[in-house]
Amino acid sequence: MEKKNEINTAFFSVKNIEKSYGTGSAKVKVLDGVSTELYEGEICVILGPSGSGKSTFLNVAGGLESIDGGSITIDGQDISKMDPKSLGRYRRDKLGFVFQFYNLIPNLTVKENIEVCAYLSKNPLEIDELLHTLGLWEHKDKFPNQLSGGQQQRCAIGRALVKNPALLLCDELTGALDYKTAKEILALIEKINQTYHNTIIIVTHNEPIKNMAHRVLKLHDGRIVKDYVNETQLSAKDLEW
Amino acid sequence: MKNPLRKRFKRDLKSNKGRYFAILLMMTVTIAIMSGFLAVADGAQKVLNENRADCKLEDGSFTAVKKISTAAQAETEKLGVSVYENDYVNEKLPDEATLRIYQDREQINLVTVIDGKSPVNKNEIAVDRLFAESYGLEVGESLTINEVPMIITGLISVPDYSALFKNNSDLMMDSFHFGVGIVSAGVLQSFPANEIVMDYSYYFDNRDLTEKEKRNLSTDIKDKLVDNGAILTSFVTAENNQSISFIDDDMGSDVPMMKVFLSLIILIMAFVFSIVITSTIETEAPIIGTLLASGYTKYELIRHYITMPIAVTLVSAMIGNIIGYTMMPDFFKGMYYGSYSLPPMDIELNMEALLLTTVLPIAMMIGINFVALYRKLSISPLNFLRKELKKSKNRRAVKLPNVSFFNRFRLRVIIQNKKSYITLFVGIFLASFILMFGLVITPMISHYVDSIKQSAVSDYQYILKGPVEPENPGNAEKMTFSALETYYSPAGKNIEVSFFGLREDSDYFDDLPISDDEKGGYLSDGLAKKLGAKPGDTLDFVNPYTDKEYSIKVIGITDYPGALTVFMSQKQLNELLDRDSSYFNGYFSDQELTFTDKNSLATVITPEDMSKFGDQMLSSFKQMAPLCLFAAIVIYLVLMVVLTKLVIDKNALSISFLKVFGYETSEIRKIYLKATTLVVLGSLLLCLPLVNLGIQGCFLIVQMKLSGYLPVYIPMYLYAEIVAIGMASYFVINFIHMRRINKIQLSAALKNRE
Ligand SMILES: Nc1ncnc2c1ncn2[C@@H]1O[C@H](COP(=O)(O)OP(=O)(O)OP(=O)(O)O)[C@@H](O)[C@H]1O
Ligand SMILES: [Mg+2]
Repeated sequence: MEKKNEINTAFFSVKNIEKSYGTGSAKVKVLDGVSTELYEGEICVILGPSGSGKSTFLNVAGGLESIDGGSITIDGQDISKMDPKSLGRYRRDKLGFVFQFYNLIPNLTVKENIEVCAYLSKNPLEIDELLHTLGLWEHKDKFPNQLSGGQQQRCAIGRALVKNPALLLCDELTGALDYKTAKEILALIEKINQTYHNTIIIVTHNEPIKNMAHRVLKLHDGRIVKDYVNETQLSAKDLEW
Repeated sequence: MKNPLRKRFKRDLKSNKGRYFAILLMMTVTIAIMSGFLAVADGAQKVLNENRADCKLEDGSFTAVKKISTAAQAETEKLGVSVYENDYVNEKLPDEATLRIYQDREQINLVTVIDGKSPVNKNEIAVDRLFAESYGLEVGESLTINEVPMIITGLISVPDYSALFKNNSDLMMDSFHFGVGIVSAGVLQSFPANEIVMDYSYYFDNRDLTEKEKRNLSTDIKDKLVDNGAILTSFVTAENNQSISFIDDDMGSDVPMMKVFLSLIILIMAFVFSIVITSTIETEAPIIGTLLASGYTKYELIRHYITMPIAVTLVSAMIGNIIGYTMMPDFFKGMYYGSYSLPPMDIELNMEALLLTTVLPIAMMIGINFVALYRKLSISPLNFLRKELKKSKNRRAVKLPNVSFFNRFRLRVIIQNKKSYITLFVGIFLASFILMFGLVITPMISHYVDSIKQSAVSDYQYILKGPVEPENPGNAEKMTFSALETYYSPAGKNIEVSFFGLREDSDYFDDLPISDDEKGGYLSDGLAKKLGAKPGDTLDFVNPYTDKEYSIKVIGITDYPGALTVFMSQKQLNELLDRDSSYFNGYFSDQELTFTDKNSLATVITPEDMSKFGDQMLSSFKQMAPLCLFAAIVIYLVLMVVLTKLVIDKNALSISFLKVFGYETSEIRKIYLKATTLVVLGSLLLCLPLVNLGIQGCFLIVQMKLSGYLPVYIPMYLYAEIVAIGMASYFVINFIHMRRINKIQLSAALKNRE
């Protein structure tokens, strides 16, 4: 996929998105007028207390969830107006997801798990090369239950990346990992961002991660309470918490 | 690039080999039985039709008191029919058997020699193949006929006796006590003249008549014969001749019944598969969510999950058909050739069977699993990720009654697996039904025979050709007998009903309030049930030999098992039949009567007749019981192993958690296995009334074929037997499950990161 380099137009932009759950008195506004912009190749970290709407934001951005108001434009296309079928196509072509739970297919090996998503792309990344990048080369023929948590997460990232998605969405991707492994995973994300220039949104509870981002968003009760650009980024290996 | 998901199939097969093997086994057996049976049924039908055409099967036959005149024959043949003399004698053989001996046929009902050769010499005879096998005769053996020894030269079949009915009114064919033999020309004349029955066969010139035209022409023939002075003692069209048409009726209902039955099993297997798949989807929900979120379409996933059932069905269809055409035919041929006298048949590839055993199962698999998958996969990826698989938003835990913790836990397991359990119930019902069908026949027939013997009003019933007094009257009681016919709509044909005219104060029927002043009659309960008649109804009867019609009012119904009978006052019956009031043509007697003129005797019914009937019925059903038992146990085992294993698979994680919490294996079993045990036991018990209904319905169809009434009798111990066999099958499976639970590792819980 050829990367466009129109620095002036945002690659990812949301305007005034509204999202509520429930009806009547049980109605809860989870996203309340959220707006922001990301440029191609940027890493964005979203922070906020539990229940503030981070995951919801990510799901909305990935077209997994519809919105009640506002617009979401990714690479020039307003995905909030798409029907489910084109949304599916869109996800297939453009998006990669990494979830806190790795959700690997238990009876497929590491390599096969990654192949499952490579199948979706017309020009996927070279899998062997990716396996090396992920540090999974020695483990490529193991089944998920023979891997450590960090290795499983790397496999899940590999699966999301192999399509070479323009936008990579990661929810709590280090949530279940220890310090060392978490840092390895973040370094991997950084490396991938540098290699493939994907735009990446990372949702986390872990404050220090914001230092590796180009842009930081803080959510509280469904509103953006902070949205700023880091002039300089720390390298993932220098993060401390 | 091929979809990498397909690599899962081999591993899935390996890790669930028990499940897939069980399903494959069941489908293969079902398909093998279906293709084998249909191929044989079709082959039998074909050979029957061809043989009937080649051997010039008669269109009807009649017997006359004496040889019909050439004028009568010539007049009759002008109607467009050929009449052939086809005389016979009934030769008594040891062991209550009768051999009906014809002269070798040249123009009608031609003989097919199956083994050996036709008789040529005076002392040679060929006998029916089925009778020879049942009665125990072989080519080369000697048989005493008409007091001279005759050599059996060959085994044959004749088209007018594909089913060996001695009398057309017999309830059942009887190859053990009745057979047909052929002697060479001239031999028949050596029998005493009074033993030779003047039998005639007729054959329509026009071979393209409709059923209705045939019937009308037959009526014309009969009228013409009577008009020309022939005195007929019987006249029966091929359609109404059980020896000819019984096999058609039998096969006519066997084939659709078998198709329905086997299709039902395939349908259940399709449901089983859909349950297996949906439960897989439930366990794989987050994976599916991830795949959908990554851009996999619903259809790609449907295709992935539907491949396995299709593949298993395809393999079953292939193996099943191979077995069906190689190993099954002998078994089913045995069933046909053990009941019917047919010329040898060839098995050909049957297109319809092929469709039913390949296309239909695959279509059912695809249809049912597609619907299940489509519904299951239409929830959003996010819901999959969150494992919210239920459609309804406000999913609340079902409120459970305030019972003990274990019971509540068990109830949860049952609710969680209700689909598996419902399918299990349906399968248990079907298997129990098959089992009951196999088990019930023997006691039912024995019971029937016993009840007839027990309620037999007299040891002997004599039907005479006219009013003749016996040499030793004793306590014998005179009666009038007549056989009339009435229309039986379920089978769309006339059935024969025996009319007995009794004395007002009959000693043999002292329960029956017969009055000489009352018109109408009492129906045997069998007849009443068969016709659905109640007291007060009026029934129409016809005398088939004279076409005279009679209306009889039903006064009451009386317990007289088995027979289709109307009892009325002898005076009334004589009046009805236009006889003198003193007319009689039969006796009830508790002792054997002797008549000076043996020729005056038409029929004697003795207690042995009933035993003979029972023997034949039991013999023609004897392969059924083990077959049904086998089929039922396979269904029990397969469904139980597949469906109840799902319960454990689904809960493997919880089981492992319980182990971590410190629950003992026995306590875990109490929760997860006891629930299933209760459901299996409950299903077995609950399906008993349904099985009863099913058997009643099934015998309604059997009933239509029988020229009598066979009451459905299911002894209580059979219910217990079914529950016992079902539970025994279950405990085999339960034992395997116990080991499976023991094997679930604690680490499954510890490794889990959710
Ligand atoms: N399907 C749903 N139905 C109703 N309410 C929901 C649903 N999903 C989320 N919510 C509510 O929306 C709010 C935001 O949820 P969200 O998952 O976005 O929070 P979060 O910021 O990701 O929290 P955490 O850090 O704990 O993951 C919460 O109050 C949650 O209860
Ligand atoms: Mg969250």
